Parts: sequence; structure tokens; C-alpha cells
Amino acid sequence: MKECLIKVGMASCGRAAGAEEIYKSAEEYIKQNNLNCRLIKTACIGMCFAEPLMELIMPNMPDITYGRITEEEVPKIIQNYLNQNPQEEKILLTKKSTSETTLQGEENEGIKKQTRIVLRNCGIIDPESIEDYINRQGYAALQKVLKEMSPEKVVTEILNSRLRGRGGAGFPTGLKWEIAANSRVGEKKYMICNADEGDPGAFMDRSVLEGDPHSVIEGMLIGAYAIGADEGYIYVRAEYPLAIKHLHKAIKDAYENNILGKNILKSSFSFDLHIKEGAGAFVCGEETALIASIEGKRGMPNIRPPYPAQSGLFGQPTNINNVETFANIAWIILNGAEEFNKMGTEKSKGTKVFALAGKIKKSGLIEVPMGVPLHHVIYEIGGGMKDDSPFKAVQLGGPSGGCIPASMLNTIVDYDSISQTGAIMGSGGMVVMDENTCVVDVAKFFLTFTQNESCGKCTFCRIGTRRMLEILTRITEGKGKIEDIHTLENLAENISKASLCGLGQTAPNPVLTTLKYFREEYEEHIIDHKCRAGVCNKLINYSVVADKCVGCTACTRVCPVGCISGELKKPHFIHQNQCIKCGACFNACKFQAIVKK
Amino acid sequence: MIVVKINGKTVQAKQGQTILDVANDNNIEVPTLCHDVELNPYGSCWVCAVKVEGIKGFVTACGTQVYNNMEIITDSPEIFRARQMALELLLSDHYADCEAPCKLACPDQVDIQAYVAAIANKDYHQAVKIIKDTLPMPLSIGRVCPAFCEDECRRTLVDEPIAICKLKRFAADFDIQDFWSWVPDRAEANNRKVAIVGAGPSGLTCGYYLSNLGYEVDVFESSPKPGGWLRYGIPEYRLPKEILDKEIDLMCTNGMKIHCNNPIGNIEDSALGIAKLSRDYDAVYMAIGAQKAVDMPLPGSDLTGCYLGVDYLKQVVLGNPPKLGKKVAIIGGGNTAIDCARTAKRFGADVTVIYRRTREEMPADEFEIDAAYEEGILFYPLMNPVEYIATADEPNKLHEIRIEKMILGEPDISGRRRPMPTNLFVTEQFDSVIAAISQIPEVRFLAEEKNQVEQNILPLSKWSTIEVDENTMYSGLANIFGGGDFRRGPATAIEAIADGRIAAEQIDYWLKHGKFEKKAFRFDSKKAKKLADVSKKEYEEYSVIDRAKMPEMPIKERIDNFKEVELGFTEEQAINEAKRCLECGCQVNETCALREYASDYLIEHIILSGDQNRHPIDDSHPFIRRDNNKCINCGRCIRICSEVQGAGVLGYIYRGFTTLVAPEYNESLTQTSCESCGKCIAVCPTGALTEKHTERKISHLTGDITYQNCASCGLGCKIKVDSSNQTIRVISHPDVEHEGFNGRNICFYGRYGWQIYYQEDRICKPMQKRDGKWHEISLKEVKEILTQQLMLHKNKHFYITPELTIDELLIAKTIEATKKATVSTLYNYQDFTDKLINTNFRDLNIYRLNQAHSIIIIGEITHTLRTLCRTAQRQGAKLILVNPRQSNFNQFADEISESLASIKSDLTTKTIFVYNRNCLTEKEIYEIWKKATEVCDFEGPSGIIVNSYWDNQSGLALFDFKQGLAQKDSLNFYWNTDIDEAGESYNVCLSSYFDFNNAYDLYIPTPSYLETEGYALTDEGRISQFNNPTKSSLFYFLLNIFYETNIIHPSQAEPSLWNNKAEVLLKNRIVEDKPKHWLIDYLDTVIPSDKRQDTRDVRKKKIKELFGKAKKKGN
Repeated sequence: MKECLIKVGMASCGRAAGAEEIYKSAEEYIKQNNLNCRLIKTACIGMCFAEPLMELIMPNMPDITYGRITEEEVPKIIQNYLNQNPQEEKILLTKKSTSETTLQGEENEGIKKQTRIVLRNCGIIDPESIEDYINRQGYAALQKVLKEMSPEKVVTEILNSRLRGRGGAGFPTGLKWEIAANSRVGEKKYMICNADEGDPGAFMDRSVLEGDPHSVIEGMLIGAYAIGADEGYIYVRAEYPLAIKHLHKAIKDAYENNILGKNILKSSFSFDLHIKEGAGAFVCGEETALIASIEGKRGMPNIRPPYPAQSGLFGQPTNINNVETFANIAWIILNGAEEFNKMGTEKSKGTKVFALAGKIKKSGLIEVPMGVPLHHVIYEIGGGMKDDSPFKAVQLGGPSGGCIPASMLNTIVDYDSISQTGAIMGSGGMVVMDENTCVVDVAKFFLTFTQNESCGKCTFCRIGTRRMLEILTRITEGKGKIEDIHTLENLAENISKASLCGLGQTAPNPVLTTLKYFREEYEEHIIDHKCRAGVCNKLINYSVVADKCVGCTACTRVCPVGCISGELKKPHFIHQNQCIKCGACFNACKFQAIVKK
Repeated sequence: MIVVKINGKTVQAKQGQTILDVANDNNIEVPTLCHDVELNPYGSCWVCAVKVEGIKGFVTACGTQVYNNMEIITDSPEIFRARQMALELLLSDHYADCEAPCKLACPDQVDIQAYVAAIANKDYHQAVKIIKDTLPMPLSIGRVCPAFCEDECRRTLVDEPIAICKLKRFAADFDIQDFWSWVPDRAEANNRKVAIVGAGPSGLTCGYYLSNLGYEVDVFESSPKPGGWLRYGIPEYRLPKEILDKEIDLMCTNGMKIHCNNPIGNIEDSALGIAKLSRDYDAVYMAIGAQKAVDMPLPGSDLTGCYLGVDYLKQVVLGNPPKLGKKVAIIGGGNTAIDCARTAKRFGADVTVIYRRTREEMPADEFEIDAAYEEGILFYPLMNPVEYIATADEPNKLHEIRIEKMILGEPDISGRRRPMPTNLFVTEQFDSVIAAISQIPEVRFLAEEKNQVEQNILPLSKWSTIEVDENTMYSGLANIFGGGDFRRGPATAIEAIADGRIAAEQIDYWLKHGKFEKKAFRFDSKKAKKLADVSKKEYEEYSVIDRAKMPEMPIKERIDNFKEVELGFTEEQAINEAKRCLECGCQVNETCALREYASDYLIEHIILSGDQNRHPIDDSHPFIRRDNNKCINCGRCIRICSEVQGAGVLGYIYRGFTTLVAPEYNESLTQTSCESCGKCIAVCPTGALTEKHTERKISHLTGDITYQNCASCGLGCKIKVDSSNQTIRVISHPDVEHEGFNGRNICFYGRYGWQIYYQEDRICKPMQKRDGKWHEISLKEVKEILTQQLMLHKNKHFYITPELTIDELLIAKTIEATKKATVSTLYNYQDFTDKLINTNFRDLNIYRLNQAHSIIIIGEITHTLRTLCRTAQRQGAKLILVNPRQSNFNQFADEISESLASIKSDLTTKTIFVYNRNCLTEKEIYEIWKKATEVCDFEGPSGIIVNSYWDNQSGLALFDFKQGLAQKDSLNFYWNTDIDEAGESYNVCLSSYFDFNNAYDLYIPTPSYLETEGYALTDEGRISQFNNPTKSSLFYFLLNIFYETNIIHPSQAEPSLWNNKAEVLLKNRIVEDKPKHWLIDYLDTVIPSDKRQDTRDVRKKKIKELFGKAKKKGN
């Protein structure tokens, strides 16, 4: 019997959904029945909404990926597949063969509409296996660079690819490398990978590190060769244990295979790589703060110049790129800048990875070429709104980004178009919101985050964001004044103009964009003391519609403060002065007899 | 050179300069809080925000380097608003008081915190001086003031308010009873005349200040004596008239003339009128008071036995009190009513106070009402007289009063509940009634023509008060000003004084400038608008200390006479009471950059207010107070401590809005490796870090500033001494214009070590040991003892040290020359390098440190020299430490080597070796010199800097004193050195610090470097100068003893003589230029010993003890 390959998606998302049980179950079943199956752990393929996932591959059979499976279903799925009679339900993806992809199943369309460069290996290979990586052209680019290309040529290639930094700001990577390469030639230099992914709702970097750590290492090596660095750090959040584990394994394997260390692949190029675990301060994603943190100091941004390229880590020229940027490098070297240039728009080339979250059907990780419109991402790939509720806005770029309203869903995904809306591309967090989301509350949420994460250095960021938050809180509590809007705008303007780092400069964006597109909602909160989304607790009341209430007492039973009274089979009543507006009764009522106003 | 455009003007700039540098070079003011000259740009405060063409948003001027053709705007409405907002945000989280709330509550803005501190420091004349800056009558006001200040005293939140008013009285009583009383200098006469009408507190105050300013002042008073209401309204038992007389006499010292019995115009035949005064004088201040009683027109109020309060009190003072009868009623609840009641009581009457409301609403001072109760006066609250009734027998005499009961209704405009009639009446027999309802100014006379100015009557209100501008007291009419009760109606003396002072200031300004002074806006940070808004919780850390109770004359002894009831605080009471002050006002409120900018940027209201971070004040360190409530997170202290000083004890903790500057884990500074150098205080732009004294209060008020050198070690740093009245407030680094080589660097010893001279256990009197115990003795006894001992001993010997000034060494030399005694140093004060003192080898200027290529520090050196080496390193020198002590400073080393021989770095000739001779043996020092001769060329920044713990080691080497050990059977004088061996000798200690545990027989105090005028020569040959900032006479005292005992000639007993000699000696000092081989030859002749040079001085031990207080680590 031919060998069957069984892959279980074991990234953090998979594990959270129960993939470990699936894996164990499959392992046991194979063992018990002594099946000719190889079971491997892969990482996230991006369909987080359908976790846990299991993929089965066997010659003369289409590859099939099953989603949302349970432990109990595992034996049956394997058995049926081995019997060449795959069961139909829960198929997400079917591929006839690796080269040709004829797709069936609910996810086929979604995957087809993506272009996977960064995620080329994610969910496909075993991230802990360097062989798997090498088998898919891994380290071929490094080999090519070391054998055929001078550092200058590498820089030129990346310059020509017009790759822009995927960390959020979109600075041209080639230019950054060129500056670092020309800075203090001959001195010790550092190459740093910024894996301090901190935006709430973003998990692109984690997925890449968990799913394809070698692609990042390879990108770093090529960069280090290009700029003349011989030592590097991956600065990764300590909250990403699986990513760290995979990185450690990858670095160990790379050393053992002469891919790291002295005279890499027998060339004259040497490079040592360390992992630095960050303590989770958001601001450490900022270059100078990140450097300070590696040096053992408090993570606080420094004034620039000097730029890291001039004087960075331990005072030496240093280049820092984001995980996703590095993951693009090997592909560009292998396929050429021209090929890369074929994707994307005039000023934004290549693809972009997004973490889709919020009120969307298919949340997860996707990669699209630059230039596709937002509605394409949300409706075609993301499957549209959850429960088909009306779309209200999409938040791009996390706490530094902004809300884009329905009227602007035609905006295309590239750095400049998104900036024009007032949001930013950011690192790729995309949170979709429906009418049940209050934009003031959203702005408050993000500002709470940024003002807690301010390093405390700049006056405007430290105190200004706090004052903005206080004003927003007042507004959501119905205590706002109409001049508060003006004060918010005033504060926002100066905070963004007078802060040293991106955290402060962009902190007001969520407020500014919501004010720009949803100003009337702010005014409603202030003037009418009304929250149309029914989110702002202080502005809403729950009450019983007597006509509809059948007196089932469901609400009474769930009320945590016991403020609902009423006899069985008679209309109930909510005592407003005791109600804490938790909404439990509203959710418990099956008769729509409780209204939120 | 590059070219930049700044505010449209093209200027030249150097590559590497920041925008701030260029702005400063071109006299363009850009504010900054976080930038520090010694530190790299940081860019946290953003008040230096500027715009650069082509750059989005603002940039920091301090952190942005200029480039060619850069276009900079430093001034635009947009920038102004941004800076304003930055300041406003900082201030919105600035939980602090610029000025003490007591001062703000005082109508006269008396600097209470400063004078209370002066009292706590036993500096009573200084306290009076501070008070008299705004309040010239503390003797009187200290007795009668209702003390608005105490209502706002924050101490109330702990226990009870400070007894501010009574402390004022204490200081003033002390001042007037002392052999001299404080009087301000008078400015030169300016030939201008001012007339004042009315010698009450307002008029006298105005006259006092104007006379101090050089005006000729005539005060016209209608009564027989000056004082106004203080004399004729306040009874003797509250304010003895003898005290008032003394106070007014003192006020007239600078030429104010008071013309009593000299009414203006309200007597027919008086030629004087306001019109004439207006013509004859440059200005007229009308302070006629409000002395006319408001009548209470009831049926029967014209009966005999009905009096008015004001008239009654005045008649008593004039010595013809009306006969009241046995039973007296007083109508009213104000101070006048209570005064009438207590006065009548003293004439033996049974007194009843009838008042419409309850005791709570009585406007009289609480303590006055209490005293009246104690003295047996009856109170009828909620009662109102409606009719005075006579009997048929005596139809013209008061017999009884019909009184209506009242109840309290709704509050009226005054906020007090309105009394309402009840139609219930009682009638009670009374012999007399005194109505003390209210007073108004007596103004009828103003209508007369001679009292009209330019045909105009003075502008009056419907309450007969003068209408003037409240900021200037100017009536708008000709040169007429007015104030006091005449402006306010019956108010308090302190308010009248405030008017008088403002009038004086404005009259002066107006006469000199032809316009009134408009006070510039000054920002005032306040913790809360009023006391009630401050949380008690914040004051929980303070323990309860009872408010001092003023001793009073027992009731029995006071009830039948007019002797003063309150007896005044004892000195101990006053000091302890003053020490209770929480010092709410900011110590640096005059120099705070934040306050200055807030004023410049017109931050009148904090609109962006919100949550505030509130922290307890950290007082755990003995010298440095940390008040995080005032911190603006600029990080200057953090950076200077870690980047320059090396201790690195401060950092940021927490994140976001709660980010805080603190030592690790927010522990006390004493738990860190803080070296108490105080540099953090030097760089703090606000009052978040301020100076402390272990025993004294440091107020915000600066004293006299003296610049001189420090004598804590041989470096001789330049220091700024802030002193007043023979005591020192703080010692700090000199301001930029007086800066010395040490810049802003002073070490612990220089900044705080002096505090040992101002502690309780400092002995400034001679002491003698008798029966194993020390006794204070007089100068005469010293003379007797010494004369006797001089005769008893054949051998007389002085031991001197390198800690004597050149002046003192000259005296020693004279003693030696005149064979009055032999003189020597103890052997270990000298080494072979003393021979090099007058050569170029020891004359390496410390300024050249900055030009050296390498600096090698061998062993430990004194703190500031170390900092200077570090500063030179930051400018490019290589710093090599040889065998250093374990210290945070070592992190800065480019190389640490175990020995000179094992240094790995290449050394050019531009190498400087630095060592402290007290920390090494002579052999080790010899090795350094040997090495230096191999490396250095001794030209420019090349050679050796010798460091020592002695301030005048080089000075001592100018003289050829012998070395020697203590002699037996001798009269030994140990001058600033510790006893060597007691033996059979009689041992005299001459020292500026005395320790009871020693083997001496006699102690004679000598001056410290802050108490003498003198010179010293620093380790590397600079001249140190001491300027006696404390104006001490200790040196004179010492010389006096020397000549009284015939040790020196009487003509040599004058300090200035020695000062001049020292000056000549130093002026004529010649430094020989020796070739380098001379040094090699010389070294060949030296046989170094392996003895370490030690300091033998009890003072140093004491200072170390003091330092120990700041170091608790490991305990």
C-alpha cells in the first residue's frame, strides 16, 4: 500500500482549536492499525476559521484538506481516504495534484484568489524540518547569492524589486540595505529581524515564524550578506512560544547544515544569529526602542539621527526588517525582481499578508497581490460579513491605523491608497466591523491600548493620548460636550506632529478616521446621548416589551444582579437603577421581548 | 560652514549643530525643558517644537541637526499653540503648588513659608525681614490678625494648622527685644514728597515703604496718637499700646514723619485741606479708615446709657471710660462687639452679648469668642433688641431692653442663614447698652471746598467708601490715592496693610514712570483651589504633632485689668511649631523653568485637565527630596546620573501615563548606590528634585550669594554659597557666568558636607576638660589657662596640616620665626612630589584634561575630578582605570588594568596620569612618575594631575615646614589635625569641628572654609579663595586668643593683615620651567617609602558619618 501523508495544522491557531487532540487521535489510530501513514505537523495555512485542519495526501488521490474536524471523526476520515472513498462532508480544499489545482470544496475559491509568496510554505511543510524547507527550493536563493552575486548586486536586485518594508511604514527595503551597506564600511554590522508583532488582532509574523522559520532566516542571511553584517538578532515576543521553539530548532539545524556560522556554504561569508525574546512592550516594535531593548535597556525610542544604519545596536551600523519583508527576499532572488514587479501597483509591488478578523465569515491569514480592492478581500476571500449583517467599516493597521467606511470599499490595497483614507497599511491587521460596532468605542479601544503602551517619553504621547482617552470615555458615558470634538482634533493634530516615534505619531489615527467618516455618531453620543450600535453601556437601557414577554423567567435566571422581577407566565420588569447593562437578559431572551435602546 | 534660513533670515551655521544651537547663536529664543548642555539630545518634552520646511509635523529643535539650506521656523501661531499645549499637558499632570496656599490666602501675600522656615532655623531677624517685605507691622498684626492663612494651612489635613500668626508675633517680639532690630536700608532721598492722611495701619504701611524708597513722607493724623484702629479699636489686653508705640517708632526709622492732632479739613480753622496737600505733595494717600459707628435706631436709643461700640472703645483708650453700671448689654457679634464686651468686663460689669444669629454665624474670631466665654461673658444668641425702655422715675435713662427671639431662615446673599422674627419677646433689665453693629468712614468733611481737588469731591460709593482702582489704589483724581478701611469699609488690619503696600508700590512707579505698573502674568500651579478640595489621604505619611498652645494669663489674673492676655511662645515652642510646617510652596518657584514657560506661554487655565498621577513625596534621603508630582519625565536626572556621573541610580518605571522616574522598584534613593553628588538636582528643570538639609528647613527664598572655592579636597571646586544671617541655605554650582573649571559638578562633600557646621552638635565655643568632662569656658578663661600652660611647658609646639589656609600657615610661620613655638607637620603629610610643586611638572592645568588623548586614573580619586575625567572622555579621550575600587563608574572605562605595567592601550605623549596621593603609598606614586616620564612630554595635556584630600597641600609645600612626630612633655597645639600621641603633654585642639571623644585638654574653635577669608593653593597650583560667606568672626576670635596669650603681636591680630600677606605671596609665586631630564634626575634621588598618606581630621570623619546617612544599602 502506498504511503499516505497526513498533515495536521499545529500552529497556535490550530492548537487553540484542538489540533493536539486531532494529532494524538491520528497518531493512535495509525499505530493501532499499523497503517502506512506518515503523520506530520504543519503550521497555519491561513484558514483559521476552520481549524482544526487535517490534510491527507496519497498518490492517485486528490489532496484533501478537512476542516472543523473533531477528535472522534479522525479515524473515519483517515480510513475512508485510505479506502479511496473520501467522505464529502467537511472538505475544505481538494487538489488533484500538486502541479495542477482543480479545486472543489468551500475554500477553493478563497485560496485561488490569493497569491502566496510569503506564505508559500506555511501549512505545507513541517516547520521543524530543514529538509522540508530545502525540498521546496529552500536556501537555493542563499546559495545563488553566495555563489553568483556580489553584495552590491543583491542590493540592486532588492532595489529593483521595489519591495517595501512590510512592518507598516513601507520604506523601500533595497534603499534601507543600500544605506546600511554604505555606512561605515568595514566595521561590524548587525542585521535584526523585527518579530515584535504587537498590534492587537495581528498574527501574520507569528504564523510565518511558526510555519516557515527558515524563510525568515534565509532572508536575513541574504540581507546580512548584502550589507556586510556578521551577526544578527531575531527580536521576538516572548508570548510566541511556538514561534520561538520553531526558530530555535531552525537555527540549530541551520548551524548544523553550515547555513549559519563560519564560512556559510563554504563561502567567505559568516553569520551568527541569536534570538532575543521581548517582554511584550508594544513600542519595542519601533526600531530604536527595539535596539535599546536588545542592549538591555528600557525599550524607549531615541531621537533620530543617528539612524540605526549609522549607529544602531551597540553603536554599530544596524539594519532592521520585519518578518514578512525577510520572507519575501528568497523568492525575489530566485524569481527575479522583474517577476516580483509583475505583482502589485505602481508604487507597491508584490503581495501583502493580512490577518482577517472581526465580523467576517472566514477569518484567518491571507495573502493577496497589492492592488486588489478591499471589497475583494472582504467579500471574495473573506467570504463576506458574518451572519450577512451590513458592513460598517474595516479597521486597518491596528492601533496606528484607522477605520475605512463602506463608501470606500473600492480603495485598493497599496500603501498610498490606504494612507489617503487616513488609515495605514500597517503590518496587516484587518478588523471587519458591522452595524453592531460603535465607532467611538472602537476608537476608545485602540486609544486605551496605545496610551497604555506609550513608553512615557514624549509629553504629547504620554499625557495627550490619556486626555484623548478621557474625552472619549466621557463621550461614551454621555458626558461629552460638543467642544470635546474640537479638543480631540486639536490634541490629535499635535500628538501626531510632536511625537518621536510612530506610536505617538499614529496613535490619534483611529480617532481621526472615525471622526472623519462617522462624525455624526460622535455627535449623537454627545447631543442625543445615544449609541446607535448599542454598545456604550451608559447610554443604553434594557427593557421588557410586555406584549412579547411570555414570562419564561429565562432572563431572571441569567441576571447576575437579580434586577429582573416578574411572575411566571407574566410579563417581567427590569429595575433600571440596579441594572448593570451586561446584556445577559437580552441574549437569553428567545422572544425578542427585551429591547436595547 | 553651512547656510540655513531661520525665520526667514539666512544665517551661517556649523555642521553638526542642532537647530537649538543655531537659534541660541542668533538670539532666537526656543524654550526647552529636557535638553541639557552636558547631554545628548533626547527630545521628550517637545516644548522646543519647531517647523522645518519639507518635514511633516514638528521636529525638536534640541534633537535636529541642521543641514545646508535648511529652512526653519521657530515662531508661528501653530508652533506657539503646540508649545502651549505641551506645557498645558505637562501642567495638567503637575500636582503641585508653586506658592504655598497660606501665602495665597493672605490678603497681603506675606511669604509665610519662608519666615516660618527662618524661625525653624532660629533665624528670627531674617524672619522679621521676610515679613516686613510685605507687612511692616508684625508686632501688632501678630497679635490681632484673624489669620486667613491658617484657614488654608495644609497641616490641617494632618492635625491642626500651623500657628502662623503667633509665630509672626514671636519673631517680631524677639526682634524688638534684641539689641538691634531689623530695619531696611533707606534708598537715597529722591526729593519727592508724599502726604498720607490717617496714621492707621494702611497709612503707616504706605508711608513706611515710601520712606524706605527715599520719599519724604508726612502722615497727618487727627487723633492724639498714631495707630488708628489698632490703638483706638483694639483693647489694651489684646495689643498693649506700648508695643504699638515701639512698632510705629521702628517704622519711622527711615524718616516717615507723623503729625498727630492734625485733622485735615474737618475742623473749621484748619488751613490744611486735601486741595493743599494735593498741591504741596507729589501724591496723597487717603487712609482715613471707617471709624464712624453705624447707629441702631430703635425706640429709646437716645436714652442715657446707650453707647456705640467704636466710641466706647476709643473713650477707654483716651482714658475717660463712660460709667456703664453693673449690667451691660452688647449688641452684635463682630470683633468690635466682643472687644467691647471683654473691655466692659474688665471694668467689673456683668456683660451679655446679644446676637441675632447663632454662635456659628458670628463674624468675630473664634479665639476671641472663646476668650470671652472663658472670662464669664454671657451670650444671648438668636436674640434681637427691639426697644430700649426707661422707667417713669428716670424717663431719660435706660432701664430695660425688650428683646425679640429669632429663628434662622434661608441663607441670604452673605451665605449665612437669615434671622427671622418670631414675635416672641422678653424684657430684661440693663444699665447700659453698647451697640456694635458696623462702621463706615466719616466723610462729611470731604464736601468742603478746601478738601476738593480740582473742584472735584473724591469719588465715593454709597457706603461712603472711596472708589479707587483695586490694583493701583488710584482714585482717578489728580494725585489722590486711597485705601484701607476707607476703601473696603470696616475690614481687617492685614487688608488695610495690603492696600497701603500696593499704594506705596504704585505711587512709586507712577511718580517714576508716569504710569502704573502692570504685573506680568505669572503662572501658579495649585494642588487645589481650596483646602477642602485636597484629600486627607495624601497627608497620611505625616505623624500628628499638636499645635503649640500659647501661654495665657490665668483668667483670675486678667479679668480686672488690661494686661496682655496672650504671653507669647517660648523659643522652644516657636521652633517646634515652625518645624511642623509642611513646606507646601515649591523650593524652586523662582527658578523653575516650567513655571517660567507656563507664564511666557500664558497658560491661564488648564483646559486639558484630567487624571493626575499622585505620589507621596520621598523624603527618605537626607539631602535629596524627590517629589514625583512635579516631575515632567524629561529624564535629565536619569541621563546625567547614568551617562556622566556613573551611579545610574534613576530610571523610568511603568509605562504609559503612569511612567515614573524613580530608582529601581521605586525604592528609596538610600537603597541605591547614589553618591549624593546632587547633580540630579542641578539638572532638574522643575522642583521634582530639591535640596534638603538634615536639620534645617530650606525655603525658596535665596539669600546672599557668595562665590568661592570649596575646601573639601585638593581640587578646589568653585561653589556658589547662598547664605543669610551667618548661616548657609544651600551650596550649589555657580551659575554659567560665574562657572569654574568644575562646571556644574560638585561632589557630596562640597554640596552637603558643610552641613556638619550647622548642626546641633557643632561647638563654636572654647571648651576645657576638667575631671574627665568637657566644660564651656569664656575667652578670659582660655587666656588664663593658656598663659599658665605656656609658662608651665618649656617646649611649645604647633602641628599644622595642609588644611590650613595660606593665611593660617603664614601665622604659623611667624610663630616659628618669632620662636614662640616650634612648628611642624606630621611626617605623613609630605612626599617627594612636594619638591615639584613650583615646577611645570605639578602645574598641569585641569582645563587641559579635555585635550588629552588618554587619561589614566590610578586607584581612587576625588569624585568631581573623576567626573571631569569622564567628561573629557565623552569628548574623545580614552579613559583607562588602573586598579580601581569597585564602582558603577568603572563601566565607563575604555580599559581597566590591574597595574600600570599591564595597560594594553597605546599611549601617546598626550596622556594624563591622575592619582590621589592619600590613596597610594609613596612607592606607588613613584611608579606613576616613572611611567609618566616614559610616556609624557609634560607639555600641554601631558603629565600628571596629583589629587589629594587636602585643600591646601600645594600651599603647604610653598613653606619649608619640618616634619615631626608629637613631642612628650610639651604644650602641643594640634591645628586642624588629630592628636598624634597624648603622652604627658598638654594638648590643645584648634579645629573647626570638635569631638567630645578625644584626648585633648583644651578646645579652641577655628573657622571652616566657609567662615574665614583666606587663600589656598589647589593640588595643581590654582588659587583657591575663601570669602567668609557666613560673616563669621571665628578667625578674629582665634587671632584674639593668640595675641592675648602673647603668641602673636597685637598688631598681627587683624585678619585682613594675613589676607594681604597671603595675596602678595601668591601673586609673587613663580613656577619654574624645568626640562624633562631634570625630573628624571630628581626621581633618581628619591627613596620612596611604602607609607600611605592619611588624613587626620575629625571633621572628615564627621562628614563621612553624614554621608553614611544617605547610604543604607545592605542594611
